[in-house]
Amino acid sequence: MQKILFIVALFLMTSCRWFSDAGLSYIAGTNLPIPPGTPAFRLGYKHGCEQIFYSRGNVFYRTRYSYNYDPKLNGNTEYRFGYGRGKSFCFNYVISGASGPVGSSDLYLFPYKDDNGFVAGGIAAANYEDTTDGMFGGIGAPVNVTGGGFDGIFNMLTKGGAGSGKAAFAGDPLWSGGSEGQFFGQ
Amino acid sequence: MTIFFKRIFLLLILTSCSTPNWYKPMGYTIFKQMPKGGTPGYNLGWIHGCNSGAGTQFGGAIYISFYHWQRDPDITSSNPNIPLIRERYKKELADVNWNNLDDIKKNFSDYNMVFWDAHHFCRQTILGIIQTAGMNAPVPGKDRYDPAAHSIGNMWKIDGKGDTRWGKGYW
Repeated sequence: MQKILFIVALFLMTSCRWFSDAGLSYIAGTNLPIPPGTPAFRLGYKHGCEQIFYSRGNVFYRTRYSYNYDPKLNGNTEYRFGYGRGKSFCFNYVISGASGPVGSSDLYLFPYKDDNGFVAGGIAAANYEDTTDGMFGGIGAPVNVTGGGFDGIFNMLTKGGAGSGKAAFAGDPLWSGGSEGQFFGQ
Repeated sequence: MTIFFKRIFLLLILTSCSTPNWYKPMGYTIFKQMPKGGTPGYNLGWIHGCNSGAGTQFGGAIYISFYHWQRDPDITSSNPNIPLIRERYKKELADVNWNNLDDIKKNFSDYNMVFWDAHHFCRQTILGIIQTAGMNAPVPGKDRYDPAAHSIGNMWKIDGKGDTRWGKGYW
């Protein structure tokens, strides 16, 4: 019985990857597979990925990874292609909100939490209207954006920028009735 | 005992000196990453690229003060002035075979190919270190840098941006 439990636990822990991913190698310490390709491409991919992990990761990553680039393969187009691909892919991983080191467990729900305590209207109305920090910087923050919550997300779209009187959508794309285009309206 | 410590200190200083820009902010940390085994052109391109990348606005006023743009316009030229370049980098490109045009081209090509990669690496590393420390790099037009608001030790803290502990998204 113990053997069966052990085997079941082993499969659960490895998510049965032994079968589907047999032969694939991964970037050390991650669940990121190195895509198939020529040896030079795969080496370049690995090096590119490790480089950006070192650059944009925290002290944990900087301890674990380092700059890796083979000068002898500098003229190898496969290597350089893989290097660029690995770097850009892992860049998005390492800075991503949900799975990267800047993330938190609830970041899927509150994507701006760390910056602003997440008030949905705050995407445009609070410090985001700053011309250097703002997601919508320079276009004029909407003064009529109200509150937070799920509906607040759409205020930016439905009520438009300050003084403009225009918006991306004429109505709430999910709930408002009496107009065209919404998902759940009349 | 004092002599022992002096020797250790001297050893540390001397070993650091072999790394370019070791005395500048984060200079030793990032420049020691330069790969070994490259051609002289590769090494020069890497150093120039890193110097240029570390001196962008991503690093703010402090890094701009220590690093600067350093791409050689003559090496990047489609019709490089070889004698001028040879004279300019007597020490750095000493191992180039100046009688062999292929070797010269190879070195110049290495320079140009690695420049932007080193630039990107050092720019991202400086930005990453600043963000890990929870610092906002001051840029022209914003507030004057306040050193009292920051600590050098911040770059090693684990609860800032980049926290990878359990429940913070990494696992």
